[in-house]
Amino acid sequence: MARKPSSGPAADPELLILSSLADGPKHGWAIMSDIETFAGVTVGPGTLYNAITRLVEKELIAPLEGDGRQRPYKLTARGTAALDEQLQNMRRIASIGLRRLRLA
Amino acid sequence: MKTTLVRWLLRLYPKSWRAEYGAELADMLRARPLCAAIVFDIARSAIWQRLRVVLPATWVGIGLMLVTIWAIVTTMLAPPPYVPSALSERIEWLQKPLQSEFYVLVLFAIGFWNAVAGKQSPARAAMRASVIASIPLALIGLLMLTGLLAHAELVPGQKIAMLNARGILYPFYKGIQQIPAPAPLTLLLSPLLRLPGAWLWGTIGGSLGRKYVTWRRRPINA
Repeated sequence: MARKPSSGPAADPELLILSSLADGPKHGWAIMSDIETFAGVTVGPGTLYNAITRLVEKELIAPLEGDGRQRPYKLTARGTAALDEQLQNMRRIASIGLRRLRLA
Repeated sequence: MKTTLVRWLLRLYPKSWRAEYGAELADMLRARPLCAAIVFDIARSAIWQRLRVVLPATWVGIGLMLVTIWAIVTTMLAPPPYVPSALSERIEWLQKPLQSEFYVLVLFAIGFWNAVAGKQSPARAAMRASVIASIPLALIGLLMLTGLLAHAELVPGQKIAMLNARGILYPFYKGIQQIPAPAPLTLLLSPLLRLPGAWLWGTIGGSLGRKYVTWRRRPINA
């Protein structure tokens, strides 16, 4: 069973969904499995679709026409920029923190 | 069994949300075992989605309802008027706004805002808020009718209230008589009795709101 962090960036379902969609469109089920694989986090279906709803409203992701009942979602240009900015910030903070840890 | 449970879980969501994401979520739920954690996750998510689509008038109504409950409780806890005390004086002072035209102003503001924002029919929004705000009064009427409550004090010292008083604590809007205390049936029916007043003030607010929108959109050199 995957571990579910209670806090920190790895617990933010929006960031996890954006990261999952960074390598191409996926439908809900595939996003959930992908997040479990790359982040070790279980996102419940309700939490996942709440986050998808918010991301669609913010125009960070957009639904594509699906062949069945499952619609794939893709990152929009705005979503790509937002993800890039968030990850750059995280990288900067992580590198400062790690450097200071090594010095300590 | 599982299909029925999934259908029930989806019904927890607002209709508009279901139309957009319902089929996807249903497929996902059918494809995996439904444990208690997932049911809880869905219920929490559905509540969140329902709260997101709640109309502003409903929030105002809930706010007014809480004010009404607070006013009734403090009035009932206050010492009788023939025992002068700092507490009864303070409660009387706190209740002044609730017996004033403040309630009408709120209904007017709901109508005005809904016309400006174009969210909902102004009259309907004011009526919605009014019905929600009246729920405690109706419950008190029900308790009195069933004999669980002997009498209700809605104003400090149960002073004689004019029927045309428009305060939040009064069940009526228009009338020509004076009554010493609201009758149980009047309280029970107060959500309905206040509807015409709510419609009127919501409509007036909405009418002024529409005039304001027209004025704002006027050509600059007109």
